[in-house]
Amino acid sequence: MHELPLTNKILETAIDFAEKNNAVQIQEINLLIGELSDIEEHWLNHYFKYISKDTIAADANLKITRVNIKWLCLNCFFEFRGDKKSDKPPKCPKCQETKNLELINGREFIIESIGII
Amino acid sequence: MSEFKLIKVKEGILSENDKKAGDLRQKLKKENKYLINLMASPGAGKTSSILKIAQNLNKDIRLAVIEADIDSSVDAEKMAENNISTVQLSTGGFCHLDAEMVIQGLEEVVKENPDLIIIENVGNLVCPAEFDTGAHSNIMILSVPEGDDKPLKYPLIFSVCELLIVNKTDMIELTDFNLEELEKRAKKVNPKIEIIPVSAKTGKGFEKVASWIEQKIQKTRG
Repeated sequence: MHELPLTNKILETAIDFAEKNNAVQIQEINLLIGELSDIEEHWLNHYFKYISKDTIAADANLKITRVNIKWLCLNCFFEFRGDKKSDKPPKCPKCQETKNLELINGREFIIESIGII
Repeated sequence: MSEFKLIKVKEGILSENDKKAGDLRQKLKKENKYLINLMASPGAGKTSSILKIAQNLNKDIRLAVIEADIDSSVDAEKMAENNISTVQLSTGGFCHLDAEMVIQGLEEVVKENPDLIIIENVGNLVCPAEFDTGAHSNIMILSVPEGDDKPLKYPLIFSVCELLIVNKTDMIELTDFNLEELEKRAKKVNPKIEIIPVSAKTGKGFEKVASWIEQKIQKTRG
């Protein structure tokens, strides 16, 4: 539901960086989106097509890479991947800690790079 | 013909909002004002829970409420009837609040010099979770009829909340809702989440919620 304001932000930021680099056209926008985000890629693309018309980003390709959930164990500082589909609570495979864990990946929403000419 | 170039951007799409939210959190802390962002589905009992929290809070704590509604003022009217100072933010179709909207809402309520401000976010388990409002604590309400599987379906909101209030427990016998199962599932995405079962109908459990909030306020005041 909130894809439209986010798409606006993506377009704004991409054009800003492109202009700073004297681009005549933006061909691709590479996004990193955490696995926990409920962003619908279909709507992101749909809105982007609509709002980028008549800009240097028209027809740019939105390339989305999903970032896996990753936990940091604050007990032994081991990093391990989480499984979104699993029904079990996360547990540090090294020291078996289950409480003192911090989510370090999975909530990203980042413009990683843009491809311009 | 120019050549294709890949430019590093590395910019968070929500970074502008995150910065505003961070600044707001700092500012309110200096002013000894505690801000809570309350999120839930439509009908989970946000408004009635706020009224129960207000009844159970230490009377020295001045409470104000920011009501976010897509296009009505029903909830704000209920607050006013109960003498709670309230500002109504109409989100005009927006599915969530962001830091800027909260800043606007606060301009009104700070006139009453509250110690605690609760934001009643738009009823939705998806969008509000993505936007930092500048609150010191995120709290969510899940009501029994919604089912104990919600952490599996909407993991993000459970991952950003410190406290999960389980409402409508007075009707738990009528359902197959399993509190233990819910706890396991919520802790899967957020091992630190605290859970308090309540009933806004009977008032049960709200003394615990109120004292949780009071402790948070005390902690930030050091």
